Amino acid sequence: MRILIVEDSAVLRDSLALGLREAGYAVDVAADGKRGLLHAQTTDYDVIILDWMLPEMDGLTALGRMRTKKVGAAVLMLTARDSIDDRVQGLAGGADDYLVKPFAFRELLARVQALGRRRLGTRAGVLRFGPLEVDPGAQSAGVNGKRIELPRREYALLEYLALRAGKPVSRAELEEHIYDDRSQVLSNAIDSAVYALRSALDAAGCKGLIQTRRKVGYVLRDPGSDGHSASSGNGPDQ
Amino acid sequence: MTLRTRVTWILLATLAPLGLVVGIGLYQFVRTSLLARLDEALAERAELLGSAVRLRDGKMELDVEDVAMPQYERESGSGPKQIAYFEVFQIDQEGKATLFERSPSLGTGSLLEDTLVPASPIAWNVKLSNGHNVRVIARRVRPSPEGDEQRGERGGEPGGKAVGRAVGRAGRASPDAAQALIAVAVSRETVENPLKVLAIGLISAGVILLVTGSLAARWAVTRGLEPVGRFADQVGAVDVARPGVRLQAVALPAEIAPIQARLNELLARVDEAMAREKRFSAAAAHELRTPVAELRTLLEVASSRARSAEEAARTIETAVASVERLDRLVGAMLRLLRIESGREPVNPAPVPILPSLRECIDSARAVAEQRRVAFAIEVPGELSGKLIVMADEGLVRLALRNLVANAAEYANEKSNVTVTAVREGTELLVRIANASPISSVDGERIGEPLWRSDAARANSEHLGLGLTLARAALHSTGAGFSIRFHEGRVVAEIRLPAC
Repeated sequence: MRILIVEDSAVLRDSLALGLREAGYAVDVAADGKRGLLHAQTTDYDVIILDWMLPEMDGLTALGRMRTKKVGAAVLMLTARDSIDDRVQGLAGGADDYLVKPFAFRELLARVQALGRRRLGTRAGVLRFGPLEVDPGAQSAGVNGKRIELPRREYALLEYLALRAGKPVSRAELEEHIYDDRSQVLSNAIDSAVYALRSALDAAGCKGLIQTRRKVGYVLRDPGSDGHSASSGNGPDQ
Repeated sequence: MTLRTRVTWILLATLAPLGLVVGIGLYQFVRTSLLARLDEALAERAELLGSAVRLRDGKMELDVEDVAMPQYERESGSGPKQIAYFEVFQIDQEGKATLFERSPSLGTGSLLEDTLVPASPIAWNVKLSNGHNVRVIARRVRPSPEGDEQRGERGGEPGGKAVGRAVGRAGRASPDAAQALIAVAVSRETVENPLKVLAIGLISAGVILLVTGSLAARWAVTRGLEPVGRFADQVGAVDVARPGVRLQAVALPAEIAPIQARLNELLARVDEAMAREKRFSAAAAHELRTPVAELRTLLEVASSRARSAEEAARTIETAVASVERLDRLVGAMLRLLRIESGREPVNPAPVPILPSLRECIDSARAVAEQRRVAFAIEVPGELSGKLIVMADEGLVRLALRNLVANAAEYANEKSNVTVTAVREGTELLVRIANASPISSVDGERIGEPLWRSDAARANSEHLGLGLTLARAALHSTGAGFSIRFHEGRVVAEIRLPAC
């Protein structure tokens, strides 16, 4: 998933970005409302973490303009304003969630994951596809109950494909949601990452899970079923 | 004391003396009029009697044929109102009066209490021995010579008996007597009875007037205050926590109506103050929570996995910087609280303002030079050595330091900051003016606690309390302070009492 952090405090902004990147997300940052709005309009973010009191343009105004411009990202308002009126105003202004400073980073991470899942159409905590399990909360994947170690980028790729299971995902979409502005993305970066992920899954005994759709992209399917949904009852909602 | 009671007492205190004066005046007027009429009637009786006094052969006699008034004959037991009395005295050469004739109705009583004879007609009151209160009039007459029939024909009541007959004797006056004194009296009841009725009427009317006046006043005040009661209910129902509430127009008396307008103005000011406080609370919460959030997130993320020594050192350094900023913020807020609550000691003393200004400018020079901002102090030459104010030096320096530092940091780059000091009456006016990039909307909020312009917000060192501290420090030392944004310039003015 790709996340935008709009926060004027450099320390908080950098800490959040570091924590979220380490959690496997592609993260962009903006220090004021105008730049945040520009980012949101030009990139398809899954989640935007938006401070309320910002220079140039306050967060609520920026959020309103995002919604006017049909920006579909889930927005988590992050602010020190804790009154009921403020929360109501923030949620009524188009925010999907509201978190008051100071907060526990784990809580923020869980909320970001929940928002991301909701945006991609699933509410399940652990995603199962035959023997493969993907746990976004724990940022881990396993086959037949055995954890497989994946580099951060490959895990992000698997998670995104799992969240979009059954639907072909283009290389461009993968690139946009897995890499952030800081990443040096080569032209065959997605293909290389998919190859590495397939190799890891094959080694764990999970073959043919990621299929190539010619001229379209990739799709994650459960080889044990002819449908595209997860084999267990708590797979992705379609 | 209620307004009703107060108005009632005022009304009573005003009406009672007024009613008393009017009542007494009316009573006296009626009494005087009635007595005048009675005296006039008595005078006519006296004149009639006087016309009956004759000088026959040099002797005085009362020609009873001419006077026929049965009232003079009545017994003293008859109704006093109908009885009349007279005495006729002969006045000798020495002016001494000798009773010559009297009416039978007098019995043993006397109208003249002494022998002094009044020179001119007079009237007085007498209580007779029979208990009757009478009005007496006495006048001298010169008896007419015998044969003056014309005078003898005057007066007399038709059908009345002649007094002489009733008396049965006709006195003989001395041939030398030249004058007679006629004293005539009638009962005063014709005057006193109407006066009693009048007095009772006046007293009753006065009491009724006072009672009804008091009740009317209480009723009028009660009715008049009814809208005030409704208005008070409306005021009591105002919830100051709900902004924008205003008192509705009610039919208030014209004297009280301005209170509604003033109260609505007060509510508007309360709303403004509440909004300012709310903004301050929100800003304070933001400013205090943000560094705490920074620290918490920084430390949580850092501790989420093993870090290199370099990463750990960087984290610690950032954490310390955040703590320092938090410390400065809390310190500034506590000092603001101390100053505003009057717990900061204030020691007014003569303070030369120019050295303080120069010192503050020197301390801001590094920032100013970096931004190519120049300071210019403009002081009239003759004042340069006389710019001494009476204030607390520490508080004045605190204010000047904040104002000068703000100007150095947030004036337009490559611009001038003008510092002027002029004397205006008993005050010294220090003005710090600089061009500023802030918008006019932001300009209206300049000076609000914890408000920061975008430029200041981008600078994490800026706390947003400088102007608020300056204002509080100056107010606590008795100085005036204002700051405004006008046509692209921020102008701060300090008014200090000059020595």
